[in-house]
Amino acid sequence: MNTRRVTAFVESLRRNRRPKAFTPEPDDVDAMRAAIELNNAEPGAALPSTEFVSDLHRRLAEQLDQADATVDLASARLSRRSLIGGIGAAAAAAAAAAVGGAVVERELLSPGSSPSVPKAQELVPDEGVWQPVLTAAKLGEGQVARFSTASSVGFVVNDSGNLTAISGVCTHQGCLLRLNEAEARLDCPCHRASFSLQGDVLHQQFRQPLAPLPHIQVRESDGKIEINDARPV
Amino acid sequence: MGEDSPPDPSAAVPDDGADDSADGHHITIPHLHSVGPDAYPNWDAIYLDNVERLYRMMYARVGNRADAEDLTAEVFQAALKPLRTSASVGEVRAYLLATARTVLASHWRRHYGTEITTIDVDVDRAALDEPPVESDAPRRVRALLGELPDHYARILQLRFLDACTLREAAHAMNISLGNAKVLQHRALRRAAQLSGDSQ
Repeated sequence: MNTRRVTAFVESLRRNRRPKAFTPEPDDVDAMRAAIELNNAEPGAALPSTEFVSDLHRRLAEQLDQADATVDLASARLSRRSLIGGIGAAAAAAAAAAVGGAVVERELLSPGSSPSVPKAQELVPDEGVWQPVLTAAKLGEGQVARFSTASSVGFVVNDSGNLTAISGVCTHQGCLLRLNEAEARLDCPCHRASFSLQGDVLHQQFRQPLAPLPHIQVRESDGKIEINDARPV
Repeated sequence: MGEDSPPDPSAAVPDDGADDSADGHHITIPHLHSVGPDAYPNWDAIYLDNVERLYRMMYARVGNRADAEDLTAEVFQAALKPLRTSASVGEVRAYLLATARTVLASHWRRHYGTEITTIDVDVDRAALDEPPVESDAPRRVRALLGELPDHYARILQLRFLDACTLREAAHAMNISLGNAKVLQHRALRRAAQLSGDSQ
């Protein structure tokens, strides 16, 4: 029984870090397996970050581009032209999907420079397009609905006829927020942060102040609720 | 393509329709891309439809982000050349799952000399096809703790459900840090035995 090594293994899991390699004894293997299973009790942690998804997508596209064109590409029925076009569009969508996470990362990577509470930002795509997300009739006064497009995830709120939309991605580590109807707030399943339906931070347990949720431009047009979304390439 | 064409990725996706209501009762995890039932139109579609599925599977097996990301990347890099997009969705997933099993086994053997967790291509296929919207891990963990002796359950509760550090858990239980380490180790071993018995 190697308590010191197994303890270090568990500590790494609890911090969501890569554990150090070692040679466990049979009893240790059982304990490590149990630790992994127990660690999964934090459900939101199991989701990939948008940054990882888009970065791996880019790396694979590069790798595919460099691959021998005679290998499998013909059987994969992919012409070089369609390959580049398809990857361009999907990569752009993935990159746009990472917008919320990108804001978060900048906030995390620049601690100390501003000890004050970060201000809410507005997510405005460089080349936006008004994207319908919901029929206006479905969102009565005082109601909130979740939406997702190819580029973003968020919540739209009808506050006495005024529409607002906020990002649905936690500004801590990019976990997807859940609507807590009873409390009329958004809860992060990963680390227990919560936000108001206006995007303000209601609760958090981190040393660094958490940024409010970015606002997304929203409007009602022709009976539909639309958000200003990233234009597909 | 025809009727099996994937929907325009630029179009709003109402979360598989389940979340189309304005009350937001159903919070589902959005898939980046949805595809037709028979085949993927290109390699991007294979990637976008399966990356989250594979990551979640790997995370459940290794319990940390860095390893889950590396292993997910390794699976896709290994599958990049052999995969044909003319293969059916089922064939693609079967291939990815078989690759994932090999990649995971290799990871454990390389770093720990033995396999700590495994992927079973038959048992785990369902989880890859339809990942649970909500993990049932919290429920299973609570059930598991309910079967443990009190002091074992207490330290695991403090560590894994209440997010206490080892030092905080030791303080809460009024024991030394060294004792807390030993207690945690023994509690995990007992939990592993119970977990193994129930499977």
